[in-house]
Amino acid sequence: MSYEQLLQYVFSGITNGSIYAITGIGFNIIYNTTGIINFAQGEFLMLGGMTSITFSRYFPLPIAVALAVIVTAIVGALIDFLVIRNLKKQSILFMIIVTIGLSILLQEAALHIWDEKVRSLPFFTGDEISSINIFGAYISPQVLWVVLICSIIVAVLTVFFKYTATGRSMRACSSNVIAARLCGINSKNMITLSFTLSAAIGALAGAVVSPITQTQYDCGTSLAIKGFAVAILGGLGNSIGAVAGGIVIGLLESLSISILPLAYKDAVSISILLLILFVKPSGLFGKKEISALKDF
Amino acid sequence: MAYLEIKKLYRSFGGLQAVFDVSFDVEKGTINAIIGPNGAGKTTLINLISGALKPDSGEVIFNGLHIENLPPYSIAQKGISRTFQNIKLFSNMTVLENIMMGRHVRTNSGFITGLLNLPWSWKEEDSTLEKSRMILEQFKLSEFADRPADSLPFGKQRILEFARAMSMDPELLILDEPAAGLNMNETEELAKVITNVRNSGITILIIEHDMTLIMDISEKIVVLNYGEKIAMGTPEEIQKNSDVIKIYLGDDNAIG
Amino acid sequence: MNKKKYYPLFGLMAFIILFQLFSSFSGKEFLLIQLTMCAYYSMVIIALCTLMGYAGQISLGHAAFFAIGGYTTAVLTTLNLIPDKDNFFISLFNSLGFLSLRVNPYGIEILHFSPWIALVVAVVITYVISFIIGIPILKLKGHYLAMATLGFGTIIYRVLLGGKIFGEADGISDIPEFNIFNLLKINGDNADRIENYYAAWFIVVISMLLLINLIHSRVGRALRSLHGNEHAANSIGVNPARYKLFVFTLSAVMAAVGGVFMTHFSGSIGPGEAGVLKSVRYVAIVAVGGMANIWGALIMGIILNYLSLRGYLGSYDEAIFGVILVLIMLFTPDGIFKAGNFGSIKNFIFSKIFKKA
Repeated sequence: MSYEQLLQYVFSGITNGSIYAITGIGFNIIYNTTGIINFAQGEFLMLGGMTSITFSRYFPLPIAVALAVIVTAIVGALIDFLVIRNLKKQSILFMIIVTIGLSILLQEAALHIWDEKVRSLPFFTGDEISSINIFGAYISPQVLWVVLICSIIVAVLTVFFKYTATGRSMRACSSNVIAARLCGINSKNMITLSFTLSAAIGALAGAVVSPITQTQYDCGTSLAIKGFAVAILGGLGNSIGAVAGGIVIGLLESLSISILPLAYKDAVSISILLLILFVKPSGLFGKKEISALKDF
Repeated sequence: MAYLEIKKLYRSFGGLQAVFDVSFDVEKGTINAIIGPNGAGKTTLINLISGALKPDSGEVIFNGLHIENLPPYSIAQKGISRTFQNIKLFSNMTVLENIMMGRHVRTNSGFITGLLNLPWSWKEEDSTLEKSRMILEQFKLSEFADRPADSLPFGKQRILEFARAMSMDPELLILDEPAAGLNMNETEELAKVITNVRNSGITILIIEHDMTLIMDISEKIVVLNYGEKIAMGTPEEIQKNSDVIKIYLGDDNAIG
Repeated sequence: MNKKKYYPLFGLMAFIILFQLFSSFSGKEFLLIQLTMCAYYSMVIIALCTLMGYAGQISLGHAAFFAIGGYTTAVLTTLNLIPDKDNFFISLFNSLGFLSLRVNPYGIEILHFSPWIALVVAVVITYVISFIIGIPILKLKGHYLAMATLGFGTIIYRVLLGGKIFGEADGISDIPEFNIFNLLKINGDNADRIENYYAAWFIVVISMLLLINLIHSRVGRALRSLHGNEHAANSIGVNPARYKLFVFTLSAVMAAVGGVFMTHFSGSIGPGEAGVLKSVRYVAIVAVGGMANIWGALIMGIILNYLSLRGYLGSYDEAIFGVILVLIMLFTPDGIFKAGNFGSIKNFIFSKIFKKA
């Protein structure tokens, strides 16, 4: 493999990796406040992509994306408001099943609202043939958009969770719901907020990546598995870990294409997930003792 | 050689030394208590004995066998049964079925026998059922036999867990705070039951905060503080021990 | 011995016979075709119910085992060995009676493994795969187990979809019939549909019998105790790893057997059988039936699969399973057969309306 080819693979790995990282962070946000792994996380990306494609027919691109984020965020809030907070049995098994049900519902709703066609958002700048030469590799400007927006999301979330009262309240819920409640934090609203927030960032990621990977009603599932792989690799609940995990998985996946047929791309990243789960479920950056304390 | 020997047991969590150089012996057919303030490492110690945790170093010898590195189920098969501080019942099963689970180690029917319902398992099932009903009777739980285990009132759940541990026909019974949450009458009842169990030849290791109960029934007491054994002896000796008094009454009392 | 546990089996057999009589007399024998398919899918459902409902181990990849069974037999009974027929092993297999010769619709002679051998190989392969994957996977709990099984299912799906030998997206067709001692033929011929129907349900009844035995045995109790509280089960002498592995491999093999016969019945198989949506559908059916309720799972499996196969659910087929999952979890997490659950739906609706008002 030539140096330029390698670089090409690296850029494509980083692009996919950023998207996986955002999906992983979406998992983390909800997991941190509720202890739930939201199996419908991938559908937020799909919805974000789909709605922004539709809105882009009527509005300029930035407004279309903004509207898509808002719509998906509302869907996220509704999921909690209508379903999650009304669950009778909050055991992990039931939580898994209900979010899987939601994921199918969102997929099927998308299938009926749109159809099974593959769509994509126009490129933010330039078009599919425009490219930028970086160190000899030719990459689409959209790749820079993906990396830029994912970095902004991570930065904003970090500030939000560290320095705002609401963000700190959400973190308090994650460490101890009852204690948080005693301190006057409305844990129910925090859960709604976590679903809203993770739907919103999912939608944004789904829109920005749409020109490159394209969007289809059922593209959420494999994104969700990879996002989960990333979240686990980085240590569940650890967002900086998720970024690192995303880059690792994105790179491995894109390098695998040079060895294995493209059809096995997903199988590669999922095998990595299984391997991590079997060998070190606390993740590369998680502490074993801490993950043992969590109720798995 | 003693019946149960704990030798130089160590266990830490991260930087916290939960059990530090603890050694003691337990004689067959006696009631032995482990006491100490909260966080003294009592539960960690019995988790080490019952196999729920592995020690960093040290030995646990039961009936001449090293058990410190065995998993919980094989320690149970050796005749050690236990209860938990936060009751752990099979919530998806009835009271009777919980007791029947206690017979698991004393029965043999395997996978193929189960699938084919082979005739030789019938007798075993019958005797499991019979023995379990007897134990329900003994612990005055018969009227609840077919109720889901988690529908019982708290006190009864403790008794059920005790009964389940007894249905294993254990040689050594480990009780983790069996009186927690019980009222005075229930505690007195418990004291009688424990003494009866001992009289039937079963050795008992008990953790308890209720000092009256401990002083009444136990033959030997081990006192832990910050993971270390600070005293050991009969109830009379422990009551007179100045280190123990200091922990329980000392500094806090002076301030408060 | 308590015989009560077997009573529902007689009910099932009565239903099977009555339905056949009804369909024959009313001239609607074609209805049997979907019910035969239901029977084979039921194998996955009752197997999953034992694993998930009783032993408490979720599997979001059970369709993969069905597909492994189906694809094994599909590959072995369609792979033409004529070019290699002088190969030592092939001629050895041939003289042992492991192979059979047929002429396909295009008049080409095909020498292939006999379905019996394919069945045995399918069972062995499934057992080995589920055993190897089961050892690490069953150490996981909760979300981790769910994701790992989902991941496993997806890998199998991708491999089937991408593998040349598996026919890629088209799958494998032109699969020969499974002839059982010349008595029963598992195939898709309209002429044999009553025979096929009874053969399929015979397999289900036998499997139900085995599972009912298991559930009511010492081993079954131990499996349920793992669901109730794994720590307590461990401390009471149940080896969690051993019991979980047993129930996992058993339920995988049972699903694969369903897949083998289904493939001979329908004459073809496609990668969709291994898809995530299929796995989720099985989980949904077990959940509606009431998790630890093997009869509930079987009944709901028959009803829902039948409606779906007859096309009554239309383009909302998958969506309905999603709706079912959400509604069941919201209103009656212990399944639809739990007494008094209709009252709680009413209460929920009322509380929503009046709280706002």
